[in-house]
Amino acid sequence: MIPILLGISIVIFLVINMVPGNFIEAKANPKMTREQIEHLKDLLGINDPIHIKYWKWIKGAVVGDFGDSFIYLKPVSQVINTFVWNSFILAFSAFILELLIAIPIGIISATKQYSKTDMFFTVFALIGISVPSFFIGLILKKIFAIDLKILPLANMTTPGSNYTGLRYIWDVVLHLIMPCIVLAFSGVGSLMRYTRTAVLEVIKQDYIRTARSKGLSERTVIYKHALRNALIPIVTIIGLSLPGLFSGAIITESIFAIPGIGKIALDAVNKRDYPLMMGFSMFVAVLTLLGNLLSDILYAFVDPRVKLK
Amino acid sequence: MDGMSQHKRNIFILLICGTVFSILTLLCLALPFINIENYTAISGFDFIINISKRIELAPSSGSGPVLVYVSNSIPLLLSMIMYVISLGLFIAGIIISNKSNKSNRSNKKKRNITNFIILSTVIGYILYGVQLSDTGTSVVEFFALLLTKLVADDGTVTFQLAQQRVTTGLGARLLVIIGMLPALAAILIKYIEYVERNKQDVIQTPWTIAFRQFKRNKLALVGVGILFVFVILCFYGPVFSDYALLETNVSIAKQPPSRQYIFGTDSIGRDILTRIMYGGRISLTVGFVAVLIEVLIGASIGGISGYYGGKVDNILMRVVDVFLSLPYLPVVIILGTVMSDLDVPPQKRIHFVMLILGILGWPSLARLVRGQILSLREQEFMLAAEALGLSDKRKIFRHLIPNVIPQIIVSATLGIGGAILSESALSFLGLGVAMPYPSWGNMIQAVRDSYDFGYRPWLWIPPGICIFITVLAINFVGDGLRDAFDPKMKR
Repeated sequence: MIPILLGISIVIFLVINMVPGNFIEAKANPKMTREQIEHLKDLLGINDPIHIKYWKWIKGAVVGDFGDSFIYLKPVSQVINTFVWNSFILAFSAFILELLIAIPIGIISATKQYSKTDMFFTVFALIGISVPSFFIGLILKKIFAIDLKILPLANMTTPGSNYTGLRYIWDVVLHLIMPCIVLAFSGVGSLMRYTRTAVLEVIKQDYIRTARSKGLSERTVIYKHALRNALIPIVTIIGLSLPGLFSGAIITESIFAIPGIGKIALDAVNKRDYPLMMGFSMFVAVLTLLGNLLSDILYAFVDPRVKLK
Repeated sequence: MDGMSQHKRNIFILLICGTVFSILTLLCLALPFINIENYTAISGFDFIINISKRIELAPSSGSGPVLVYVSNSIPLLLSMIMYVISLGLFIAGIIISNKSNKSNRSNKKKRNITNFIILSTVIGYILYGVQLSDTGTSVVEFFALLLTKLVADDGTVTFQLAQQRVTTGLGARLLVIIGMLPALAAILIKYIEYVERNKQDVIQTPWTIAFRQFKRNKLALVGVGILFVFVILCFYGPVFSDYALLETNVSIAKQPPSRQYIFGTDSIGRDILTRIMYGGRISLTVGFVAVLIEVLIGASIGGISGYYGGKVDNILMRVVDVFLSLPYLPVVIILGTVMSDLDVPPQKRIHFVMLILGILGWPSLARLVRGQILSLREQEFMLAAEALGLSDKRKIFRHLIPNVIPQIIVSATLGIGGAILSESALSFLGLGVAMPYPSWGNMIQAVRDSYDFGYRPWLWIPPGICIFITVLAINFVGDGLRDAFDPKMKR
């Protein structure tokens, strides 16, 4: 895992440092002289050769210091920490929504294979995969916020409001409905298809036939006997979809102007804030690896036949 | 006997097509070929005569001669030549295959020849159609661009100049329709051949089984239909549009849909339908080329890794691991900004987007191919290949990879959909295909103006729906292919 992380950091670092334009030049005060700019660049280490820059970065990164963000003038880890929780709320609720929709329709689809219902849900899943998330976000925003005016347009809370307690929570919930649906929508498709395949695999096995021939009700067969085994592959997907929720948030959050990590990352890219870009990329990369690890562990946990060495 | 009459019929169809094609082509060339606003339309003959140099056209109104850089026409010429060559090959191939009809052994060879020829005709036609209303996206043009840079004496060849006010004329439009005939004939002949062959022998190859399975899948067929319509519309539609791609007219900006402008006009008065067609061409091409790159790299690396195993495998798979764990969207976005910072010109950005998506996409395919090859390597036919003393290269690319082709096709098809989605997201964020060239994604950028977003939906809804429908169709087809190739899925 560590070598992979190192590899990723090198690749991302190289990519980011291909950028010739830099923060100082982009935001330079026109009154600054050439020497002052160069001096500032030296101070910030922008003029260093690439391997030294990387060495400096990795030395800090090991102890959790990812440098200071140019925009916020605060340590990157602190910036990420400030904004990640908004994203976390969004991602978590989207994820729950995704599970609540995808798994039931996956099971129904599999139990009624090739029926009209199955066809309908399969097409629904494909639609979920095929719609660009920014487009579905825009459409929802247009319908519910502009035409019907029943949901707030953007942001996480009503600007200028000082709600407290339940009122505050309700406000946040209202603001998060649309982003949540958007974020969940693209995941539902693939998760539903995984569920469907997994249930189908299990249903064809002998022990299901045995269960049926014992005279158990179809409900018990499916939900007690089949589902338990079908959940094994589904559980692994859960870990793997972890990073997607956060990197998918880049688009969702910037459409709905939610002050989360994704929006911050896009701002960082637009304003050439290298340390923050680097920090965010590494954050997602770590999440990816953690997700893989999590799915391995969960796999061993739900399926006693698998033993981690 | 049956085969004989069939080939006579093929020749007959072809002869008619060929004659009609050549007569009408000559006629079409005399018609106005391209229209340049405010200037006289020029006929195909003028166009070809002046093909290698810049022509100066006297304006019919206004003052002074205006340079029209015909550097644009060099790729056009190239693709026309390619088209004519492929047509010639097509005819020649049919004649050859007719001659060698007697012996049964050459049947397979014959089939290969016709397959090749049909393919080249269709490709020739596609290239030709694309060039007639060029946007700076096709591969041919990419090379031609390099070529023209060398040819031009002042080194300032610009594509926009020539395109700005150019729409295709009547002649070119007719030529496109007529050019379609041989391609259609080729497909028709192929289909007849397929039906006849199916009647004759009952030998089932995996491909015919898969094809039959695929035909049974209604969703997949719908997908193929939709894609066919979209490809035809996007690639040939612009030829028939009266509005030039880059022509702007602020006085008619943001008009709602009307009879004249079916989808309305955008913020600087360009016809949205035309831009959607061009944008579709760019989006589809980007998706296709990105996946092509993906497949080329992925299959080679996966093949090598799976075949050699051991250390090579270990190193390559670590690289794959790194690439697989790269956060896709952040990296793509960063690369998009890198492009902006390097001041990549808009036409070239399209190529870079292809490259970026292709290079980031290959690892999953490499892993898939490797897994398959690891198991194939142990089978008896590889032992035979070993015994025959074949070279490694031959073993990998002629014996192992072909066995993985079904899986590659499936994942490539689904990959095209994914690439189109990524491209649209990137372009929507303003980091992919850049103005003035449209792509479905960057047309949706119109929503940045909040009034347009709320009250002028024709500016951004049509391209979004196009992305959605195209990707959906691709996914239908990909799913259908997967079911068709996977024996386990048999009903």
